[in-house]
This record gives sequence, structure tokens and C-alpha cells, in this order.
Amino acid sequence: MTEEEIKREYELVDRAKRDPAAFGPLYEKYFDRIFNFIFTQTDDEDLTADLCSQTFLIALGHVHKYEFRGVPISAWFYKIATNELNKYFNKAKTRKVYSLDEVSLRNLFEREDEEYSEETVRQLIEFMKDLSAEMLEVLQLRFFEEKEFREIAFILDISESTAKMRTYRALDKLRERFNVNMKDGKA
Amino acid sequence: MARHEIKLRRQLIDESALQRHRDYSALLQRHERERKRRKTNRIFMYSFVVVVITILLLIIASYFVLKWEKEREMQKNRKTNQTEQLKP
Repeated sequence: MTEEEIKREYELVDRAKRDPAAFGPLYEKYFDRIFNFIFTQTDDEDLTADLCSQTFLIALGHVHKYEFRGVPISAWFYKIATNELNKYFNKAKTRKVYSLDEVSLRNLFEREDEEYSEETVRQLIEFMKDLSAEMLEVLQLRFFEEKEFREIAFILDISESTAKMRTYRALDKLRERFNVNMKDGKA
Repeated sequence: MARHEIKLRRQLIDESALQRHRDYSALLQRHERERKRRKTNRIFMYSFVVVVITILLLIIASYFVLKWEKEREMQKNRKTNQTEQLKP
């Protein structure tokens, strides 16, 4: 997303501060992405609908406090969604579910010139089970949501260097296990 | 036991499901209800604080009024005693 696009979006935010109806285009633009993001971590459509609605409700209720920090407004939605997910899992005391969709996984493998096979995917899933939640969060945002490091840092409330460090550590682990050369193209 | 569960989804969530859950007017209505609820809560809290402060002020004021009346009564009694003692 270019600086110009971010600024144009911020103008919409500015209007939404005065008139909640102006928040509509932002909701329409990001609903699907946020819904899918939550769905990958719940694997439950109704729960996802609740959390997604709660995410946008919080965003709408707090939009008057939103300050431009050089990241797209979507990063703020992801941040709220992540907080809502963490709150839900802490309260429910259940294990987080990461459901990777085959299409995204296949795309990722193709982008990295790796061969996609059932066996590799099975191994990848086993490998991911052993990763810490922090690393998974970073990997998900980086490779499936295609976020930049400064956005990841904003979403997870960590520094940009921590976001990079977590990604590279996870990739190092991946290389050790699979002997592959999965590169971080956007770094 | 793993810290989290990793699953593979064979299909993406379909557009009709997204369409079913995407409802901005419902969100606006919910936002309006939330806003009214928060406003009512705030009014209730402010009123409660005002009532508590008023009650405290009344208690403090009545304490001083009682104290002052008691002293006045004592002074009056003292004066009466002195007058009675001065009587032949």
C-alpha cells in the first residue's frame, strides 16, 4: 500500500470520526480479510462472525481516538482482531486453532519455488505445532496476510526488530527441518 | 501435547458465507445501542457520585451544626447556673 493510499484512507477515517456512516467503505473493504484472518484461528464460522463483528464494533466505537501512525488502517483492525482472539482464547481456556487453507499454502510453496506435496504439507503442519504462538502469529501475518514488518510490529505491539527476529528464527527452524530455502522476499 | 492445533482447510470460506455475515447497518445499529448504553451508564455514574458527595456534605454539615448547637446549649446552661449562684 502506497503512502498516498494510506493518506487517502486516513481521510475516510477522519470523516468517520465525525460521522459513523462514513466508516462504511472501510468496513466493506476490510471485512473479508479480517473475517478470514479470524477464521484461520478459530475454524468456527459462527464464532468468527461474532469476533469479527466485535472487532468492527470496537473500531467504530474508538475511531475518534485513532491517530495516524504511518500504517494502513487495516493494521489497526488486525490489532483489534488479534486482541479479541487472545481475549476469547484466554477466557475459553481452549487451544488456539490455526487452520491453513490449502490454496494459500499452495500459493506460498509456488512463490518460494518449492514442490507442493501432501507429505511436505503434513511435515509442515507437524513443524508448526512445535512453534511458539508468537512465532506462528508473525509467520501468519508475514506469509499469509502479507504484512510488512512495521505493520506486524504495530499489530502485535512489538518492535520492528523483534518482528524481524521472530520471523527469521522461525525460518531458520524451518530450514533446519526441511532443508529448504524459503526466502523472505519482502524483507 | 501441542500448544495449538494446526489444521489444513481444503476450501476457502465461500463468498455467500461472507455475504451472510457482512452487515454494516446491523453494526451501525449495534454501535448506536452501545453508545446509548455507555451514555446512560455515564449519566448514572455521575448522578451516583453527585448523590454520594451531597450525602457526605450533609453528614459533615449536620455534624458541625449539632456540635455548634451543643456548645450553645452548654454556654446557656453555664450562664443560667452562674445567674442562679449570684442570686441571694
